Parts: sequence; C-alpha cells; structure tokens
Amino acid sequence: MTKEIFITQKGIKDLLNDFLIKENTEVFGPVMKDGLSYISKLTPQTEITFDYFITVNSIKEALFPRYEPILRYNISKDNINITDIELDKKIIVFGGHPCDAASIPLMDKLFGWDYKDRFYLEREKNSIIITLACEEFDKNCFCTTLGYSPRGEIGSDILLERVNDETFRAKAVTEKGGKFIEENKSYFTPQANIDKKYPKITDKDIPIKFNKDNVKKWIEKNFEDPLWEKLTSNCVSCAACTFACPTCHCFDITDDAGMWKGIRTKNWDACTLPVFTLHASGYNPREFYWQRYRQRISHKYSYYVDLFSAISCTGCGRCSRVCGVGMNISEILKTISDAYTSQMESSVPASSK
Amino acid sequence: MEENIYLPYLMRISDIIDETYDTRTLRLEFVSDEDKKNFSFKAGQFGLYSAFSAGESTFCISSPPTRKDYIECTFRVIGRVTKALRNLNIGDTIGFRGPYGNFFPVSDEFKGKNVLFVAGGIGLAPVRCVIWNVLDLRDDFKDVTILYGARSVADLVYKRELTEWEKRKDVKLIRTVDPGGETPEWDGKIGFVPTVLEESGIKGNANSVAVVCGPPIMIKLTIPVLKKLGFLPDKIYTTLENKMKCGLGKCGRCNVGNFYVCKHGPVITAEKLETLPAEY
Repeated sequence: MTKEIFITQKGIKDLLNDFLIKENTEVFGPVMKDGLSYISKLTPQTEITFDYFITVNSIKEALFPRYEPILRYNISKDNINITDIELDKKIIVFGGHPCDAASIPLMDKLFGWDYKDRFYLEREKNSIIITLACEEFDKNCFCTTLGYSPRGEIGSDILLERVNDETFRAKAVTEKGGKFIEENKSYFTPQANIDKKYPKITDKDIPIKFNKDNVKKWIEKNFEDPLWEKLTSNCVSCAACTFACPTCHCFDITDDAGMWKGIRTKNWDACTLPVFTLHASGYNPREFYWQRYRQRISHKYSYYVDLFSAISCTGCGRCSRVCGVGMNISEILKTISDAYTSQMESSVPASSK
Repeated sequence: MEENIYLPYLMRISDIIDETYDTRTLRLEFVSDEDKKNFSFKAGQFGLYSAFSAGESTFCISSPPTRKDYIECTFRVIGRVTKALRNLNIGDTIGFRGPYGNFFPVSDEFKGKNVLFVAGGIGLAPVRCVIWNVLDLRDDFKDVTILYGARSVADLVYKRELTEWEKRKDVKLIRTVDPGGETPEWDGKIGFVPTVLEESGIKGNANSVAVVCGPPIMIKLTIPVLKKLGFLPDKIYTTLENKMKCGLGKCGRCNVGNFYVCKHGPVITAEKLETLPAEY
C-alpha cells in the first residue's frame, strides 16, 4: 500500500496562491459572494472558502467556459486573415464535489464523439481536478440513485477527504494527480490527526430516489403523454437549471466583431430557451415550455444513453436548488419512474395477477 | 493538439443570382487551390457559411457534386447573418465549414430507378443538388419527375432552371403555386403540393424513389400521399432542416429524439422518420 499523504486548508491556499502567480495557469476555486459560494476563476486578491456545502455553479466553466473564443480574424479590404486560438494554459480546479468531477467523463463522450472538440479536450488534458469528498448533503442530492457516490473518484485527479477540521487526506486518483502531488510535495504533509467524526456521510446516507432505468423506459414510450405538461407546467424557461448543470453542454456560436477584426466564440446556450430551436421561417419544433423541459429530461435520461451509453446527469441537484419556481428534478424523475411502474402493473393481464 | 474543427475554409464569391425578392444564390470558389483540390461532397450534405463579423448560418450545398470547382448556396434573407451575406459582392470572401451530415444514396439506391422530386418553396435548394446530380448522370436513371410548388409565383426559386427542366424531354416538370399565389400569366397548377401530387397521376412502385423537401408541414402531409401512390417508406427520402450551430454533433439543438440531424441526417427515409418522436 502506498503511504498516505495529507494537506491542510492552509496548504491548499498556499498551493493555489503559488500557482496563481505562475505564468500560464488558470486556477479555479470556491469563493464566497453574498453568502453563496461559487466556483470562480481566482485572482491573487480572491480568498477561497472552505465554508460551503455545495457551490451554486458547477466546475463546468473551468473546462467549458461560458464564453470562449474559437478563432480570431482580421478583415482587410480584400482579404480575411484567420488566426487560430492557442490552448496551452494549465488549469487547476479545486473545490468541486464528486458529482462535479463525474461530469467530466460524460462531457468527454460528447466533445470527443466523431469530430473532436479540442477546446474541451485540451482544457481537460491540461487540467488537474482536485475534488472534495462530501461531508454534507441535502434533499436535492441524488448521486447514489445514478450509481455515483459522495466519496466517488470518477473524473477527479486528486480526491480530498476530510480527516479533521483542518486537514484532508489526499488520494491520487490518476497518474496525472499522483505526479502533481509528487511535484508539489512541499504543500502536503505525511501525517495528520484522524478525527473520528469524519467521514460524516457515506453512500448509505443519501437515499435512492427513483429507478433510473424505468425513467428511460417510460420516456421511450410516452413522448406524447400529458404527464409532461403536468410535471413541467411551472417552468418559466429561464435556463438557470442548464447553466448550473455540470453536464449541460449546449452552446451557440456567434461573432463578436468590429469593422476590421473580430472573434468567433462558443457561448453557453440552453434547450430550455425558446429561441434555441427557432427556425428562420418562424416555425419552432419546441414551441412550449413543457416541450423544452421534456427535451432536457429526455436528452439526459434517454437520448444520451442511446448515443453514449451513459445518463448525462450526476445527481448533483443543482438544477433543483437554483430553480426559481421550485421544480425538483428528482421528484419529477420519481414521478416518471412511478408512472412506468404503474403502467407495467396495469398492462399485466388480469389472469396472471 | 487536435485540429480546430471550427476553422472555416475561405471562399470567394464568384457569382450572385437573385432567385426571388428575398432569396439569393451565391456561387463560391475556394481561395486556396489546395482546398479546392481536396474538397469533395455528396448530394444532400450541408455546411456552415459565415459572413465575417456577423456569424455563421447553416445551408445545404445546392449545387451538385458532379460540378466541380465551385459550390453554391441559396438562402432567404431573414436574420443577421443572411443580411450580411446579401451585402457581400462578387470577389468578397466568406467562410465555409463542411461538408457535414449524410447524403442521398444517388449512386447506389437511386440507380436504375424512377426518381420523383417533390419540393416546396426554398426546399428546392437541397433537391436541386440531387436533381442536377441525377440529370448530369441521366442514363443511370429511369423516369425523372419534378413537382415543385411555392406560396406564390414570386416565391418560386431557380426560375431559369425550371424553364430548362420544362424544355427537357427527359424530365417531367409539374409546377404549382398555393391558391391565391397565382398571377394572370401563370400557366402552372394552382394548389398545395400534396393535393397536386395526389391528382397528378404519378404512381410509385418498388422501383421508384422519391425525394421530398420543404417546410415541415408540407413534408408531414406529402409522405402519406406518396405512400398512397405506391412509394415504399424506405424509398421516400427527405431532409430534416432543424436549426444548427456547429454541424458537428456538439451544440445540441438539432436533435429529434436520439437522431442528431447534423450527424445521422439531414437525409432520412420516411421509414426511419416514423420511428422518431414528432418533434420536427
């Protein structure tokens, strides 16, 4: 067995701070703002926090920025000159939970499918994902329902588990993570007092909320079911759920330009917004709120599974936490999964009951 | 590092044709000889055309793959990008990414068969690519019939080509405009495309293929008529024209169920279309 290694909160702060002043490194970490915590791009002036349960946003924007140049161009009188974008920055992402990190292999499938989107894939290659195992959960959490764990390693390079009020055990999950610890050994410590009160939670504490396979089976057969409209009638198409989501990946491509030069950018977009699918003719295949929400749920729990053999959701519950009209995704999915069960029961011939 | 899949080719506008009051065709030639040499596509594929400083828009390639050295696109001026594209002149440079998506099996499934084309409005653009592809290899196919309709006489695109097809002995052309869209001089039919098709006397069998493109409502109403006329669902082809931004299966807006129009389409048979949720 390899020797255990630990890092204190101060060690983490020092480590991140020292990387911040190094050239060519972007550092992301949890920052408190107006009483809420966000994963933010750090500057030497920002102070990271350890006093949070889960950040409002996910770590998504470290690898898939909400606004990202994909090319630049200059326009001259009779020519266009295009310049490619360099992607050589190292990225350190600290403070996401296992449900954040678990989104990375899911996003890989999409961005690496057929055509390779190097903007995501390069960023991922250049990044170190340092994840905090959960010590708390709330009613919106449902990672265990999807087979994930509050102490899960999927997608992380380094997993930190709290062993006392000041210190974490650091587990190198990937080779990249191991190398990172090795190279930055001075910030880590070989010993720590193990406080018995940690870990505060394990997989068993987070209840299983619904049957994920039944959700897909119901979606496949019930595209036109009135339940969709009923379940999602509160939706106001604000797209907060998609922006907070670690696995929502839809984007728009737009030009940002003046007369003589410009950049083309990828920008976050959302299937819950009405113009997302609006045709030039004025026709919209997803005209109503519930049609768009149906797309969001069906994409994650059925279409993504067909294409990539994985559900595009990690059970982080962020979409429920940020929803302004109180739509709770795990409750919606439970209703769907129950609908499947009752459909099955009612379709069993009376004689065999 | 992987190559940047969002980098466009540079193309120069070599010709401009105004099809209608709001629809324009651009003929484009590669700026780089090497790009020109290496480029090839198949009928039904599409691309992303960019007016630098305005953005990108998705159109099919409306010229046939049998005519090398250039491609054409036809678009209606609706939004920011199409307005900017209209403001460009011959000699100006635009961006092009593509070809993307699947294609009509012109050189295998279509070969030796009767081919019926049904198009509505600007839906003739993707069909025109296949029509010329077929006509350029005319001996490979049996009867060629084209049924084309638009809202009004003013909305008919490719007017010069319609005249050309009308004159050809090896093509049967039926033109129609929606009721109320005719002019006193109009010598074609008056009626909606599915109705005109039903009354045309056209018959399909196992040896015929049909290509249908147009507004979603027209496609929905035309497919049942084609089936009634004897066309087999796996021999009826259409293209799904959902909004797209990347063309590469990433941006997430063109899907109909698990069918990504940009990757698995845009060409689809009526047989397959029936298995998808009715969200197109």
